[in-house]
Amino acid sequence: MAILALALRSVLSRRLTASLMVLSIALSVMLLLGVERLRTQTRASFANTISGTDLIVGARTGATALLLHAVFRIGYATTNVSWAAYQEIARHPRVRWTIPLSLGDSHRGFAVLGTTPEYFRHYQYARDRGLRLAAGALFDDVYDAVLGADVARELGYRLHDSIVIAHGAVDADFTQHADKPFRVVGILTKTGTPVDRTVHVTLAGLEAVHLDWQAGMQAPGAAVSADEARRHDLTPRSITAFLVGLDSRTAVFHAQRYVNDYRREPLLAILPGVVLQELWDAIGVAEQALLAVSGLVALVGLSGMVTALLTGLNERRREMAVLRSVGARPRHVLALIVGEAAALAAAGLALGLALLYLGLVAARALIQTRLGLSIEIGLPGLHEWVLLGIVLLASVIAGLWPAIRAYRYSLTDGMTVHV
Amino acid sequence: MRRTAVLPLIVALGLGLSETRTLAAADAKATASVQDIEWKHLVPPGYDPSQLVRKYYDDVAKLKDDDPRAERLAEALRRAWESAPVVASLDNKTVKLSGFLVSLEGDGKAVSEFLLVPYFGACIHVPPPPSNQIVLVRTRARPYKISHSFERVSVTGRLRTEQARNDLASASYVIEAARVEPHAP
Repeated sequence: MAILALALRSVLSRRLTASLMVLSIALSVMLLLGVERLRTQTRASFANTISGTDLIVGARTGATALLLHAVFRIGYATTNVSWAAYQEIARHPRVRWTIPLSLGDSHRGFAVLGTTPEYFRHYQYARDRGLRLAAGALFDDVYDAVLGADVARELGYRLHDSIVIAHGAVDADFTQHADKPFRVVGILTKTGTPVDRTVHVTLAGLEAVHLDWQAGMQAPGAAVSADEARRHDLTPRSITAFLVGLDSRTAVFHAQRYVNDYRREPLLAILPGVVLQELWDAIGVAEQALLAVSGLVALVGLSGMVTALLTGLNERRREMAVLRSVGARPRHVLALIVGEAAALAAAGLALGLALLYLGLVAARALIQTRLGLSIEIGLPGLHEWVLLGIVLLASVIAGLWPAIRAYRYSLTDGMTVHV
Repeated sequence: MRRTAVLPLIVALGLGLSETRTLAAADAKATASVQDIEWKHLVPPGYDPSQLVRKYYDDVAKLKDDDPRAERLAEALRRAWESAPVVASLDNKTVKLSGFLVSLEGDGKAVSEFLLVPYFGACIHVPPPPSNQIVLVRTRARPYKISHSFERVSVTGRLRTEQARNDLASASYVIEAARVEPHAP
């Protein structure tokens, strides 16, 4: 105990260098774990967003682009799928259910999605969880809207509130569909997916707000009121994409082939699991590079610590001599230096973890808003403990070098130091 | 300080070891009566799609592309392909089968449900394999850590023939996997 107290005092007397050592290790550990955390969390979050869907069908484009737009609301679609094509594919004998998706409008920064009640029945996330209502009911009327959990919370909406959607992906008050407001009839429970940040409206409602829009603008003098619009045929002419569930998962290649060979318009069907995996393959190299860089940063942090310990040794020869004079053996001196390295590294790890969690808490909202991905802030996983363990072990091994030098010094110097 | 940080590491390592040990025991039990099968064993003996062609027309070679009969034939073939018969006697057998993995469900690190197919590119470039050459593999209990798309794997588990919800289609193969491992040729 006395030795520990002595060691602590010794460190405190060098508190500036010691705290810099701790800080450099903390920063490198934060980077190492942060990269790892972000990598696994984004993957998990992406993978958890869609489940149980066999195919995603859209107009022909890149597979990744279709997945990102239809499911994650990232990017935009180049063209639409005609309603007739959607109807025909939905009638394919192997198709059990379909969910039409119509994107493009927004409400105060949140995506507006036109769909059918099928969406709430068949959409699944996180393996096999379905969407549930926290309050209210599903669509009934043309101008009904069901809000994702975050939309309701951030904008403070309650049931029966009236909302106006904006034309285009960026909300601006000069292109609003103000003449045809929607009524909030339901609010969904939190899912941790882009669904939380989506305003769901009926396909007919979306068609209605665009009835009097011609050639890309609201045609002057042709305005159709909300009630007049009800009397029009509100069958959509096209949709952005649709999700498909089949009667058997083994039928997926045949159904995919059927869509890709569809003669009347160029369509693309993708297997979400395959495209996600291809996405990981593509960004895997960058992930490895990031991990390697953060590993190197950890190494730099450790070598900084060893440098500081080594340069400190000369100054501390007198200290060692004093310790020897009061009965410390050379092996005590060895243990003192190694222990100091380990303790500093451990303090660095603790501080690094604290910084990491602070950073995660701060970045969480931003990631959620920008990417629609939810980052869970859980305890470190097994893999992260292993990384921490490796850093700690490396610091002990690195501490041995100055420790052995100190041991030699204390043997040769004895109690008289000639510095 | 030092001890508290090292302890979880030791515990974690210990847990890892004990886990592999129990899994190894389960594997040993499972491998007792494993039947190594190849893709051709999944096709019932005597099943020959070319007979189907003969059944419809004798003069297939003379058909032009836009002949309505050619289109009907293509449609009949497509249907036959989509509901190719399965080998009923394989039901409930523990088998080992190798092929390419096509990921369906997973968490970004490991797949919990995938399709096993006999050749790479079963996805887009060529007509897909007949339905009796596609096996749905469920690995929910032990998700398989995937290294890249279309990885080659060997799957060991109980093979079942599962009837689709739809009457039009015939049964398809499902393996509840006891073990998935990278394929060593």
